[in-house]
Amino acid sequence: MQDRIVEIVSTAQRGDREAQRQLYVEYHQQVHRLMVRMVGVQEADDLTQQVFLQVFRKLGQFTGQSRFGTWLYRVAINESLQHLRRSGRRQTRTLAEDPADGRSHARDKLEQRELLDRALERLDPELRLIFLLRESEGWGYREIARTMKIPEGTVGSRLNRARRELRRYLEELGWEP
Amino acid sequence: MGALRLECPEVRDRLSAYFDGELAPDQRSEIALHVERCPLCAEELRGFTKLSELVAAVQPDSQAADCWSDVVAQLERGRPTPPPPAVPLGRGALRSAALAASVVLAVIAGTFAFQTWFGGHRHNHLAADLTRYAREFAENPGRAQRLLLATYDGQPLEIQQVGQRLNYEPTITRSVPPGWKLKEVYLLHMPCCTCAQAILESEDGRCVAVFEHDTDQAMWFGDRQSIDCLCDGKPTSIVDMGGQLVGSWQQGNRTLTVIGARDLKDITQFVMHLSRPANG
Ligand SMILES: [Zn+2]
Repeated sequence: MQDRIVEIVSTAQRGDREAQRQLYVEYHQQVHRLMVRMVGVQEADDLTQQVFLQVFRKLGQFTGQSRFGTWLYRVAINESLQHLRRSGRRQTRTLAEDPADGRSHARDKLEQRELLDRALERLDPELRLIFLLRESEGWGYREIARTMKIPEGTVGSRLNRARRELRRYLEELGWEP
Repeated sequence: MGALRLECPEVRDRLSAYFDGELAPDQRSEIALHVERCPLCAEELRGFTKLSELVAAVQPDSQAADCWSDVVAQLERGRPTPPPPAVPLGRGALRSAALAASVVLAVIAGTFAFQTWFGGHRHNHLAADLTRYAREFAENPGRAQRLLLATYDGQPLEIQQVGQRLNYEPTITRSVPPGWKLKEVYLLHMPCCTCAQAILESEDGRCVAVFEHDTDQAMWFGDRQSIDCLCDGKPTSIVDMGGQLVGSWQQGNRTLTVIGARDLKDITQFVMHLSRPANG
């Protein structure tokens, strides 16, 4: 599997569209799934597209030191964080101006999916990402640390924070663990 | 029951690592022992488990759209392009629309007329972004708008705020043509300047986007053909974009651009209305 990918990557680096398409086919569902969680369903398609655009534009910079999948995720992660930073003000604004978004909704029975999405939305983007890489993608701490460029020892403490905050947000929305 | 070797804070610090199976066996058993006897830490751990179950229960079910062709199109667009040939205008929708609205065709121009906007290598990106925006706007204005806001750090504003932020009162927030309603106003940080953008909705539910730039250069759409015509006597550049028209004209030292017009009558209506003096 890895050998096959390595071969496709090096062909793609020479500008071969067919090889690039194979990489797209191989990875785009995975990337999309992460993007749905990171930015929501509505923007996930656009962002996934943006990620692959960046991947192919920067493909020449991939040296093969890490696995291609890890490198690709790093691009995806950077794109999603940038996206969230850019739209951060918008989100804060919406929350601030919509008093119905907090407690008054707490008694409504929300769908689990919506509950989780809303709680994730309130979480700091980097914490959200670390949490998703662990819980949704099943990554180990070392892989998360490398991709996020943080010391391995801090992955656990950030996950602690992410989980505590998420639990609190979820409970505020009416979730009972 | 012996005393616990670890204090709660130490356990809490390592609780995720414990939960995720990232601890060495000896550390693991220490935490396990503590959790067995400490209801507070056990409760926290139970929360982790429940959270994990929640995530597993609601994995996203939406499938990614296959946007490979869009990716390729954008990659191609990002390449340095050879200078466009000076093409004569075709007989497409653009021309018939122009004739139908009985406007004067003044000059026929290719892209070279607009290549001076920013200078340098950002041309391709911006032109590609704007072209994409205008094209997508024809199909899905909301989606087009989200993408544009993300690309140019767009911020929604209240109408009263716009003037303060720009140091001038944009024409588009002053008043809108009859039959149109001002829906949203944004500030966009584009390479040329910070510009104001308004989304307007007509009575029959159509949308247009109006950009107001603090620059006297026309908006640039890469190698799209454009025609220059007079709308209400004002020189206006028109581009056909996915069946809709884009119109761009100068107003004093600013440039106004309407995206999403149905025909030249639409554009002329905007030119007429927005060119009028403030209280006229
Ligand atoms: Zn304890």
